[in-house]
Amino acid sequence: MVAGVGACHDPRVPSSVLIVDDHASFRAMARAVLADGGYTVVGEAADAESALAAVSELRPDCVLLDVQLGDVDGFALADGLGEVEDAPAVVLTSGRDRRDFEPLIRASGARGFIPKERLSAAALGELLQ
Amino acid sequence: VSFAVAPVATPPRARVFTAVVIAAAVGAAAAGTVALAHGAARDQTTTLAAVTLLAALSFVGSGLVAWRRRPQVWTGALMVAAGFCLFAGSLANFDSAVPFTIGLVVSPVAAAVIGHLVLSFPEGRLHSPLECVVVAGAYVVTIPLQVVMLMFMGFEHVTGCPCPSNLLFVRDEMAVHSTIMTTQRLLGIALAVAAGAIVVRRWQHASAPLRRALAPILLTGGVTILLLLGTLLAAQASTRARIVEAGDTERRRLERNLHDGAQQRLVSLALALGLAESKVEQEPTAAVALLQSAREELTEALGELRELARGIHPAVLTERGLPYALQALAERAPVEVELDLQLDRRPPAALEAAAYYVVAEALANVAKYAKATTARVRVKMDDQRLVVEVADDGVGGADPSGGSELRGLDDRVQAFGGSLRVRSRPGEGTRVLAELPVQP
Repeated sequence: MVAGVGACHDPRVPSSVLIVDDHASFRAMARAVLADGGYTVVGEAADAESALAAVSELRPDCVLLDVQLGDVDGFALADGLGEVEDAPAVVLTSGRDRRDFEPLIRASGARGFIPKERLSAAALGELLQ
Repeated sequence: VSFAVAPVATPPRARVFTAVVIAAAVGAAAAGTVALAHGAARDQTTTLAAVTLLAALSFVGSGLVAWRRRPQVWTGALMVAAGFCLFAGSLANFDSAVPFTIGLVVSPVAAAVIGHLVLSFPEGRLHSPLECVVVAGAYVVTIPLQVVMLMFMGFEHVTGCPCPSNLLFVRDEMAVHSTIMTTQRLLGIALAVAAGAIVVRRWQHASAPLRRALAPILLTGGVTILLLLGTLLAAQASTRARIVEAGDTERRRLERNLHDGAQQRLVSLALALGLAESKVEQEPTAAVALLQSAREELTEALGELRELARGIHPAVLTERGLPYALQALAERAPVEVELDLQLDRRPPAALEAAAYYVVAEALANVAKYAKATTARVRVKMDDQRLVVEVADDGVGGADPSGGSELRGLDDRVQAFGGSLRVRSRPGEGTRVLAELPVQP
């Protein structure tokens, strides 16, 4: 699976992001951080179903996706997002240790992984280049 | 010895009797199936219960044939009796006091009757005083001992219950019923070994035709013994598995709590600090607001970590002992808690922790479900046991068998060889009583 070639190449150029996470507090903070760094956060979703709906409706350039949405597997959702038409770039995130997911991250079509506490516009921009 | 004794013409009375027995057996099998289909089999697997019903039918059927062929020999009658005792086992699955009690009393007798059958085969009479002792012993273990045991056994804490009333119940005496149960188990094993040895000896000395005659009945006896052993081992294994599983569930819960609680708050905190840093020069007011929210998140995270740490193991318990730890628990509880502690010395650490968790979990349940205004905690220890009781004046109606919290407590208490009872009639409050044996 190959992630779509999103348009969010340059963090200085405003590009649109969808935040998918089941924790409302993280969605709010991530929105503030990314907006502060010049991204347009076009929407938030808390589960797989609304994430897919939001992607087809809002057509974001990239999706910031938690690898565990409650009991739903974020990697499976990443695969699903890669199959939609004009697929957005997917960047994975988690509060858990990256090493727990390393093989899954490699196997996914995502652009990369950002630990939640290290999320910043710059970190996202680096992965999207 | 041969079966080639042709029956004389069956008298009509015998025919009526046979018909009645067949009707009763078919009725019992049907009722047993209905009971199985309606509720789960208590304390055994549905498959085993179904196999038991089939075995019961085949015992009654072959018993009737044997009885008709050789009415003067007891074997057929014993087989029919064994079949009906096996049927009685499924009566315990009914939700009504009379069949439940009959099932409890009669079902173990099947083992004694089958032993009697095997030892008295093929002539239908016992061959030596030793055989008489073994068979008599088996009946004593399964009938009078069972009845006395049932008189002193409360069923609230038995796996598979709530159960209908046990009509023999007098009062709950854990020491009495557990002593009788152990005696039954030990005597049962000894008698089974003795019977096995007798049978092996007889087999060694038997002529070829006698061996042919013995083979089917020995097979039946062997399969029955294996089935009984299998049930016992399966029950033990499932308790062990539940204890291991409870540990896993607990660790999973801790990881979840850490991840969803403190960890998320610290993530937000890190992001807020980063954001504040980037805003501090251009938008100092916004930066201050972010710092304030960061401090709030940090306070929350610390609180959650403290709660979790206490949940893993309360330090005050180790450092200051049960009375102090329970005092602290009582003060944190949202209802008024009356403490009555009768401890003249400190219980062993593991027991102390078990008692603490019983009180902690019971009080948490009071807070969550009971709608109570006060709770009473009583802890008493003598040389034999530590008794922990938590009673509230709430709405009652808690399901003693349901709820993972109560199940977890039950497993914890059982791991110490203790028992947990929950009485919670609607409108009468809830009373949780744990008895933990004190090892000398």
